[in-house]
Formats: sequence, structure tokens, C-alpha cells
Amino acid sequence: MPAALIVAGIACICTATGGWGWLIARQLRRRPAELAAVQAALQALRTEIEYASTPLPDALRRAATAARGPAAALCRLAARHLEAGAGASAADAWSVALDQTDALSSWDTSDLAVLGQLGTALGASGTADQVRHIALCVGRLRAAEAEARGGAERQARMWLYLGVLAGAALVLVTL
Amino acid sequence: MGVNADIIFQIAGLGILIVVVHSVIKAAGREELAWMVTLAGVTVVLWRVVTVVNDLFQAVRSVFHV
Repeated sequence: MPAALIVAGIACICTATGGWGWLIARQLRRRPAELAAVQAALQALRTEIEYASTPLPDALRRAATAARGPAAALCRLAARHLEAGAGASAADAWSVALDQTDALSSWDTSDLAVLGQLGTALGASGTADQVRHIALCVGRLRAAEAEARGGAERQARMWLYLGVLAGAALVLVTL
Repeated sequence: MGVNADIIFQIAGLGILIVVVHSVIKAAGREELAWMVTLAGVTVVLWRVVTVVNDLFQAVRSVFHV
């Protein structure tokens, strides 16, 4: 086999595994900021429910303006599904929106579980109960954010190196 | 003989790589993952060595018609 072809193959493998490591590192670096954004959105939602008694679709739309990225998309989609789905509950709309936002976000399964639990309380109980649920959810997300900020940079660097090194190991084993 | 020299260099390269990976993962504070990767590396190397030793035994058997 020509040497140039072998070198091209090695470069392809290392680029592919390096890219895979870079994708994981990017997710780890984005997660704290995205958790902060969803907390901001939920705080805005809480304000709308508690002080303005705004109907849920409008409250969700206003909460979307308080955040950016996937958090804004989540609120916007939930509002849209709530208005479009005749007879669909807020929990269903929230759940569908969460599923659609999952691909765009860097939230992990525990974050999604916390947000999913909040959906069951939205629009299904009184103001005080909804506010309590939102506060609980924000508290849990804040703890997750603090934990993510603690080791995010170290973990991200580890995955960057691991991507390239995994490629090198693959090349060594297959060569 | 050429094949044997190749496998020696391959195993040496894998050893160096495993040491680097172990220290990178350990520096990130995930020692259990570092040990798992090391164990996987040792398994791969052992598998290679066992294959070569098996070839050697086959050669000895065929030489002595055992």
C-alpha cells in the first residue's frame, strides 16, 4: 500500500476521533452557561405567574425573551405547542418542547429529568404550588450548574486530548 | 523476524500511549476511568502477545511433528 495513502488514513482517523473529543468538550463547556440561561428563563416565568398572573402561553413567551439559546427555544416551543394543541395539557406541551430542544442543548439526562418534572406542575395547580415547583427546579439547576462549573474546564481538556489519543491508539492497533 | 520486530514496536507504542492517556484522565480527576483505560490497554497488549506465543507453539509443534 502506498505510504501517502497510509498517512491519509492516519490523518482521517485522528481527525475523526479528535473531532469527537472536541464535540464532547464543547458540550461540557456550554453546559454551565445553558443551565444559567434556563434558570433565568424560569425566574422570569415565576415572576409572570406569581405577580402578573399572566396566562401560561404568554408567560412562557415572555420568559423566552429573558433567556437565550436552548432555554429560550424551550419556552418558545412550549408556548407554541400549548396554543396549537387543542386540549393538550401544559405538561404535554412542555414535554414535547423539551424533546425538541434536547438536540440543540448541552443539558445532560439529570438536567432533562429536573426540567421534565417541572412540566407536570405547570398549569396543573394553583399559583403558589407552581411557584414552589419552579423555585425547587431552579434550586436543583443552580446546584447542577455549580457542580458543572467546578470541573467543566478540566473535563473538557481531558476529552480534547482523549479524542486525539484514541485515534493514535486505533492507528497503532490496526497498523 | 520482521513481523516480530513490528509487534515489539507496536506494543512499545501502545505502552507509551496508555501511560499518556492514564495521566491525562488522572489529571482530570477521574482515576477510576484512568484505571479502566489502562486495563483495556493491557488486555489489548496481552491479546497480541498471546497470539504471537500461539504462533510460536504451532511452529514448534510442526517442527517436531507433535
